[in-house]
Amino acid sequence: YDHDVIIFSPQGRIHQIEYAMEAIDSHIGVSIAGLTADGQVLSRFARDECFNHRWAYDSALTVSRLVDNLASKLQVPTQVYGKRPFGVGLLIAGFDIGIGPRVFYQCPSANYYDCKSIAIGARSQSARTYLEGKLDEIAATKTPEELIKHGLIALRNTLPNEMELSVKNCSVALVGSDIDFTVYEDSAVEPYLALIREEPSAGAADDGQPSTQSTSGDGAAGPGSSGAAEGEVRMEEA
Amino acid sequence: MSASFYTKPANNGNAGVAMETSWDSNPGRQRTLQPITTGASVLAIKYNAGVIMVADTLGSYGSLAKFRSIPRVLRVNDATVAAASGDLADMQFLNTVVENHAIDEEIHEHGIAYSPASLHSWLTRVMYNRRSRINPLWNTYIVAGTEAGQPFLGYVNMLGVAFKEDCLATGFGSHLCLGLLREALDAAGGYAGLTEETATSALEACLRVLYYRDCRAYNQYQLANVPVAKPAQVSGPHFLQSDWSVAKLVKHYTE
Repeated sequence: YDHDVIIFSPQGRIHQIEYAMEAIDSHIGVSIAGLTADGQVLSRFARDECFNHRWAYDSALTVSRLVDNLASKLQVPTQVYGKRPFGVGLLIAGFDIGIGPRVFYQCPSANYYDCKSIAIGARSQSARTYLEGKLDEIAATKTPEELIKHGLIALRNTLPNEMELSVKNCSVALVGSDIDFTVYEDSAVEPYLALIREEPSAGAADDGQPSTQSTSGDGAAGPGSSGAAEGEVRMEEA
Repeated sequence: MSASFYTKPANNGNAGVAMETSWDSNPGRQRTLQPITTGASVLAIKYNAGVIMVADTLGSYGSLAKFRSIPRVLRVNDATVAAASGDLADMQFLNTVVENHAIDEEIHEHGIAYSPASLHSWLTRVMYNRRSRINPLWNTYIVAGTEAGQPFLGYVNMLGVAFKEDCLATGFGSHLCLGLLREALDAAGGYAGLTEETATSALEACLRVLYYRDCRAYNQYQLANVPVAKPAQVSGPHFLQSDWSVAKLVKHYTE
């Protein structure tokens, strides 16, 4: 059932929908949830915008400018006959010199939101709840490790009972004043996962019950799939 | 890309040289062949706490000193100023574009203001592009300001040639004054040893030399000062004192 994006599985899932995370420029990265082919078009566009800006202005395109340009592009097919919206939600994270870290959530509707933290995807509500409860703590973090811990705990809260975060289903990316957008995958994630093993599961912010969502989510745990875990989480240090 | 390499010359073909442009289908359109109303030299020098730039306020119409109060110095934002010599119509056109860019930056939420290095880079791209289309903006620009806490000074001309230096001058200024500015810098051991007062008086001395020796120069000028720690300020018009008493020694000169 993963031969074509328009084919539903008997369970009502579209297997072509995945998660992916990639760098756009040295100071910006995106994670894409949805039709990855559409996501690639937008990634390529975003890289182009960043490159053209650097070539003309010899400086980095600010995250908010990039998101603005992306949104303008996404809006077109929502208002033109015969086109369909881009089937992706994007989390755009970056660092602007003189401004600080930025996180944006871009919707297929072309709406976008400037966030302090955000989680999107299947069962991401518990992650958002955790993050909202920990906003002040997150704002007070002093090291990247503390920040990543919050992110991974939030992510872990979205998992069904039988699932665990592992190097096979989870990746982390970091960007900041002294670090270019860097993705940690496979064994590189292990040090960060080790940080949260001591922390109790089902974070204090939710009601202690494991998620029992009835909505069908994207099959990150499906056979042969090795995308990032459900519910991508992005955060920023204030 | 459907551009052709060679097109047969149109009726009045650009002196026989064929270009791949829309001129053939748009014969009313013209290229810049010569500057008409012109501005003379621009001079600029870094000092220990910023950079200063001067330009007189004359718009010459050939040899006629036609417009005597033309501002040639543009304040882009708190950290950036720019001035141009050459065709003043082209300068005014480009300045409008730059101003609109600057407004755009300011109103965009969380946008950062245009830095002088970014403006210099963009200007270089524009000037070189126009040169490559054989339709130049007939100007030489100097961009000055504060970049990452340091004084910035850059030059771009109609050929798209661009460079950054501690002192710059355009037109006649580059012939008559650049040496004087460089001497001032050498005497101070670099711009870090140059005070604002010394820099200003060096520029004024240069303007005086130009007024004596450049037939297209003028004795009224603007001055832009961009200190690294404070906003840019454009002041003027300032008036240059000059001494023509030597004129009576010139043979055939009558009062």
